[in-house]
Amino acid sequence: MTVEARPRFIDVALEFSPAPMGRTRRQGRFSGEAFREDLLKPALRISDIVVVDLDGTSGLSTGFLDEGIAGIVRDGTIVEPEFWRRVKIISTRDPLVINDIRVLVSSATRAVAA
Amino acid sequence: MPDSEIALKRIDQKARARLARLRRRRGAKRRAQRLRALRRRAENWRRTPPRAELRAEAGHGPESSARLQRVTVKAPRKISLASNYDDLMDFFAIVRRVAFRDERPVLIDLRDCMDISPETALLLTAEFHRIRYHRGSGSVTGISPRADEPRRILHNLGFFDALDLVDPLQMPDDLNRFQISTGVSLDGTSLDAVSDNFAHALGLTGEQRLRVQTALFEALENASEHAYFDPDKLTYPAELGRWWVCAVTFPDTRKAYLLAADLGMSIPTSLPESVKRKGADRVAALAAKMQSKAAQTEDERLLCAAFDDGVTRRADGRGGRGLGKMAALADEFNTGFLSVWSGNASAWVNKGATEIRSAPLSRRFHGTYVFWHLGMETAQ
Repeated sequence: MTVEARPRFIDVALEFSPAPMGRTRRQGRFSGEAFREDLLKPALRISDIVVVDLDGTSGLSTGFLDEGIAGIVRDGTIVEPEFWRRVKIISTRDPLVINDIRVLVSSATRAVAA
Repeated sequence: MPDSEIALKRIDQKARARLARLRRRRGAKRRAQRLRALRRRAENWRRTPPRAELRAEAGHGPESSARLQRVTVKAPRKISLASNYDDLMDFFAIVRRVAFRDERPVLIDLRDCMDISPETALLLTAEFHRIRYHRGSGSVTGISPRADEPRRILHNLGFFDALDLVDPLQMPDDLNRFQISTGVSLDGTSLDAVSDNFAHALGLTGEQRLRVQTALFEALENASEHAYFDPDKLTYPAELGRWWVCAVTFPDTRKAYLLAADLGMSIPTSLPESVKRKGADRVAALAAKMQSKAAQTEDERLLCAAFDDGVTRRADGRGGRGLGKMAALADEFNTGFLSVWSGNASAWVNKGATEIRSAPLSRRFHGTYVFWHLGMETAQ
């Protein structure tokens, strides 16, 4: 499958859920695992750059971010430097979420290395 | 005595003796007949169960009817987790024993109940919901309180609806003050109403509102992830994943309480297992936290460690998960308080406190209960 240069935008609130919650599919329909497997990974397969827009969502829990976004580093889909090159996070309403994701991705990298 | 009388007397004696012999022979005969009849009946009984047993197998009879007899359990006059913990736990223990061990229908008598705190009313609803889920809708019923205030609190929390009880005095819903939500799977949109109510009462907007909502979502996420992951360790049957949340708000005084409960494994039971799954560095961090307070029981140390679980505290104040985030937010408001009951311990932190305080519980709390208060009123 060819990877497009044109970025793929994912508006989480509109395309997934305005209030995603939970880590695994077992915990709920709009979990981090569902987001990672159904939206983020397919987008990375078809596009070199994926923009994840978190504005419009509410209550982004650590579990959702860890499983849904940092999870692609933890499961070996992508390594951390490539993650930051290919995945762009937009969160103007709560900019500190990006700090949270940075910590979670680092933690995922350490877990993979261990 | 003349000879004739002696002779008559002798004949009479002989006749009586003969009669006695005849009676003895007849008695023996009858006794033998009776014995043979008893032996025949015993033989028949061995081959066929008696009528009483047949009735019991068919669902009649004294043994099976006893199992259908409803047991009345009288609720304490004061139902409050904070001020009447022992009586309340004893009450729950009796109800659970009747429902799950004895497998008999339960009638909860709340008539003499004069005081129910809203946080404990949520627990009541959760316990009875669990019994109905596992034992059927007829397995637990109740008699509502005579006093108006406890009945109003139960009504607004959906207690009567959960037990299919008809409130004889139809009360208007006070939905501005109570908003209960329950579910098995995590659905942020269903919790929006609860968190909106909570935020509205406090006048929260923007980032602070988001952080309150995030703390709530994380607390429930933790409950969903850890409380039910090993059903074999549950003391009582539980609907896997079930949680209850309620926001009790007072917009006029700008204070709100968020109550959250689950009936799964307690935090002291689940935390060591969940930390093991997250890696050796987390295990080491937990061990370090537990060593710092040797005077406490193990459950107390584990519960206090749960307040600090997750990402190390950062300069932006965003560290921690679930309980840690809630505790941090309690510090940012004019009044704030977070308390947790779980396992054999309770832990709490007040606004401005430098450390988490804890105490052992006299009765085990089967599950986890979180009581979170935030207020904008000026502390006195």
